[in-house]
Amino acid sequence: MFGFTKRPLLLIAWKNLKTYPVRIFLTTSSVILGVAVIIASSIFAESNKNAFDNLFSGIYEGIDLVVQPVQEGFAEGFEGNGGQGPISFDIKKISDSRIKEIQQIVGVKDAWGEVLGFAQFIKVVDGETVLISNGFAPTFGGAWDTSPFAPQWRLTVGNPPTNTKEVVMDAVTAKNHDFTVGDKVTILAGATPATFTIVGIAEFANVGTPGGASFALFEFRTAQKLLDSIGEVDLINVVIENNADIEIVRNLISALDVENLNVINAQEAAAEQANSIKQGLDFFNTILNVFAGIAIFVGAFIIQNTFRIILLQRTKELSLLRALGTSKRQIYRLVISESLFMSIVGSGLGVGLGIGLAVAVKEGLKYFEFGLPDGPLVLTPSAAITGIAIGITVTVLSSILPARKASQVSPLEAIRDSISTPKRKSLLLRLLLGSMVSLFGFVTLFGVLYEFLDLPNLTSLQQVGLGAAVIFIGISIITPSITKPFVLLFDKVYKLLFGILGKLATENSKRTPRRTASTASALMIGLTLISLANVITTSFKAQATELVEEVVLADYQVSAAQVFSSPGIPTGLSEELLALDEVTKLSRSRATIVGFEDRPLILGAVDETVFDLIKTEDIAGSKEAFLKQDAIGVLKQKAERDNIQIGDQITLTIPEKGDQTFTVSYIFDWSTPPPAEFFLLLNNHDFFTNDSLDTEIYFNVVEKSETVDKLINEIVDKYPGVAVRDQDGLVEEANNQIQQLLNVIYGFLSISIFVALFGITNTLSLSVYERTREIGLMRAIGTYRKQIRRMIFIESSIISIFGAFLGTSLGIFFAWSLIQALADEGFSVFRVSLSQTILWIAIAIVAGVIAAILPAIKASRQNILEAISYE
Amino acid sequence: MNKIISSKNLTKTYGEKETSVIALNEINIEFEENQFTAIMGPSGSGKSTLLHCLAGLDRPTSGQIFLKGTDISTLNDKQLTKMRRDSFGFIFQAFNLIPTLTAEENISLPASISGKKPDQEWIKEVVKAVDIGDRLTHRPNELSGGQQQRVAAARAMATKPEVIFADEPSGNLDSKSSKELLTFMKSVVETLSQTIIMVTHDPFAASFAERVVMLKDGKIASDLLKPSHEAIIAEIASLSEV
Ligand SMILES: Nc1ncnc2c1ncn2[C@@H]1O[C@H](COP(=O)(O)OP(=O)(O)OP(=O)(O)O)[C@@H](O)[C@H]1O
Ligand SMILES: [Mg+2]
Repeated sequence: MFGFTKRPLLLIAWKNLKTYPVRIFLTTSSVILGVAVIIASSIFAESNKNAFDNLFSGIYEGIDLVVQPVQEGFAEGFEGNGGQGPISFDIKKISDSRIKEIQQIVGVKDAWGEVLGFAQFIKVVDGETVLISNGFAPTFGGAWDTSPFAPQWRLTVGNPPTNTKEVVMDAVTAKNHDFTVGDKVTILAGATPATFTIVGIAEFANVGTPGGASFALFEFRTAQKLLDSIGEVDLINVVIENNADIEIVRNLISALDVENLNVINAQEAAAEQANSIKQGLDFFNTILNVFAGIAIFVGAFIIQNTFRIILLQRTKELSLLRALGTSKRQIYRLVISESLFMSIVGSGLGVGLGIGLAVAVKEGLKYFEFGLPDGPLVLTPSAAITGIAIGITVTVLSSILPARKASQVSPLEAIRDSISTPKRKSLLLRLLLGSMVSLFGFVTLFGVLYEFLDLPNLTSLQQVGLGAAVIFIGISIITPSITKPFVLLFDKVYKLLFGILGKLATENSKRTPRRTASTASALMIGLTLISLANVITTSFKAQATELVEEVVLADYQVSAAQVFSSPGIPTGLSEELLALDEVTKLSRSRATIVGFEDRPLILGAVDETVFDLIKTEDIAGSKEAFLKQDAIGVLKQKAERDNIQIGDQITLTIPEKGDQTFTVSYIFDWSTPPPAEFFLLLNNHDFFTNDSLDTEIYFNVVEKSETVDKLINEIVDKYPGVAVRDQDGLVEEANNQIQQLLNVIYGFLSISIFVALFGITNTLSLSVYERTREIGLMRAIGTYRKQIRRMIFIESSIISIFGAFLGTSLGIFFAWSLIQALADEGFSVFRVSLSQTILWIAIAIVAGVIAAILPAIKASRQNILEAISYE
Repeated sequence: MNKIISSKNLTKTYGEKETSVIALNEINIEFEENQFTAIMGPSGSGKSTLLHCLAGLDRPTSGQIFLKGTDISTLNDKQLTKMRRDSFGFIFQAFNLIPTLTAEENISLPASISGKKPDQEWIKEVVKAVDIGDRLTHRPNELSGGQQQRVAAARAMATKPEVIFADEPSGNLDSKSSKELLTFMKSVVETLSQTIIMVTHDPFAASFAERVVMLKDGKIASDLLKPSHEAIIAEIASLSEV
């Protein structure tokens, strides 16, 4: 019986897909991966937004109004020093007597104060103090709210703190570090650590603990004392009566002190804060989207390649269809409908894999205790649809060219015996076009660097980026034309290394330069980005090293161990150090907030010795003049900006002291991030001793040695939250931070290499298929299976070396251009790490060989008789 | 004369029980060293199958094959491959040469893959004999069909193999090129002491051989020594009558 179908081509398409699951997998694999990255990144974005929404609505849950001290003009006051002021300083607070006043206002149900500051849990393990935190999240201390309307912290076990020796710990920290009610814990809050008993474990709203921070919650008065807020609170939360009008109550509270109190609507504030965080997250999302874009871009290359391969393998079938009277249009539609089907399957699987990826990454981050807010993963329908739509569009678009080519197949092809190889069109046109495009790119790029072309509306960095992108496209166009000359470089070496197998492999890559090139291009993209990231960070590291060595003249630096985790360095430490015979010279720096022209200002204070321990540069005035009682030093940038001259009088409002006038006697340049813009000599003024904490200490020793190292460490170890580093340590720390960033980037970029691998597998499979007879012949005349496999591996290594070489060269060049463009920002060091470069090229080659495993096995298992039999 | 390769009860069947085809049926045959043998027979009589089994390209279903006394039907793939490389030479009907290699590289291919230095003196002699000295640096697609087959013949001899197997080597050639190739094959047996086993269905080609073995339905139908061209034609005619 012959079946009759109205849509024979659709039937053929379906049959094809059913018969060749491996092909479908290979083609769709790149779609799957691309879509997966898009989906995963959107899940991340959405889930983080959600978590932050929860966090902020949690912070203000049940609260109607928040009373804050006015900090207006504050931000402007810091503008000058690039936001690099000290992390811990006194911000304005509210007197706690206001709480009572507010409670008495009509319409107010309850009001209570909140105290917040730094507090660090400490554990002693084997005699060593260990700082307890949840990953990189900050460590806070606060007051336990006694109001029945304060629902933020809820006890999961135990009781609230009632005296100066009790504390409640947040649930996340308790769980991470195995604390339970009844345990003793040491806490560093203020200058000296003290021991407390944990009386309760509490959970914050619906997020465990805000932002992953560790929280020590004290009884109110204790918190005020420990967190430097005696008689004060940071803010006051207000709950109003059900029938009260929020605006009226707000105005009433505000009227208490219009100038210094800022009363805000809590729910509006929640939305606002969540929004500002989201904007920060958008940056992260942009990066994720860029990576998704790269994956899709590489994927498009591969899809196109795979389609070509599949169609070439089916030339006979297609030409038979043509011979039987199928029109070109119908063949075209047949291929497109196949690709449509594959893209739907692939995108669907991609969504699934994306969800898996998001879960895996989330778990991974948890493992590293990376402080993102907890919360469920969210996939919005619109994100899923976008991902699927992109997957389908890219796949179908990538199959158009191969489909057109397939429809051109001659009906005679079926009758001919040979397996056709693609015709070689002239590559000269490509070379010309590619060179033109690259030339444009180079002109754009060098135009900035050598200042002969300045495109309007673009910053120099953007112009360099544009130039680089254009060069990249140009080179991608050229690659097929330079495949042959490039492979020629291998000829001799490979022949020497691998004998006849090397020769065969190089010849094969030359045979289809376009295919070799487009396969290599996929790898090239990944390696361009990797080597770009690599060289940039290597250069930054070198720059950081140079900077540290150049500007830090001291043997040692003491500072807070972790940003956000320590309020400062207890002054006892510098005294102990000075008492050592080994310490020859020591300088402390401190900062406090004063008023200047009605605005808060960070005022720094240093020891005279600082000029010997940190590199500074005299601009005007003299160090000697700076030592005078009424002298004030000004940072060069500040002086230039505000036109401050030597001899100018500056009046500062000192807390609890009133106005004092100083004479500008020294203008200087400070090479490390300066702690402030105005400086006094520490010993000349007593008001710096207020909080008894140093921000930084630098010191020299008679001679560096292990014993000195040990001696110093013993002293510093007594002060938790404080770390001492020598020059090498500072360099290492700077480098570590850069390296961590690099590792994250590497993680994402490796995905593009992974996608490129599928491309190599496909190309080699085709290459093996086309050479069925050749391989059969080689086997017949005595080539081992092992040798056949080796030949395929060598071939793949040529592709991957080609891609890696191009990518690495471009990446290094782009990095160089970027650094040149950043010269104005103070970047001057360009350094390539040879070992890293070689490592990545090696990884690319190994990856290429792994990608060749399947085709190699297939080639070596080829049936000899089938291959050599003549039909 | 010594026998170099022989088969004992060599049987080859294809397919499963019901649909099975017996390509070779209990064949016992011996081949002499330094002799040019032609295997003939109607289409489907099992010529190629016999050649493939003898050459270690295919495995017999049952029976044995001895190369100078060693049973090669028990060797594993690696051993068989090594044997093909070192002890045998091959000339196929088509696709004899690797298209990306020059004539010279094709000739020394078996030596190259064995990692040994080709015997230059010997190769020179072979190249001279096949008369392609001026075409050595050319690729196969720049050579005529006849030249390609002669390059293949040179390659088959390059490692001084024990036996050269040829399956319809002149099948795709015009009569002039065909004659040249066969003349050469005959001469190498005589002057360079080679052993050739050639499958052909062409009586003219077979007339170059010293011995002609006729197959029919997987069995040896006749075994002629130094038959004339006419004698071969007569024998074929008599076989197809039955
Ligand atoms: N791979 C195979 N699968 C099934 N049957 C096969 C296979 N190879 C050969 N045969 C069968 O074995 C028998 C012998 O085939 P063989 O190729 O040896 O014949 P031949 O004498 O070389 O014929 P020709 O002159 O046409 O080349 C034939 O009936 C053939 O159909
Ligand atoms: Mg045959």
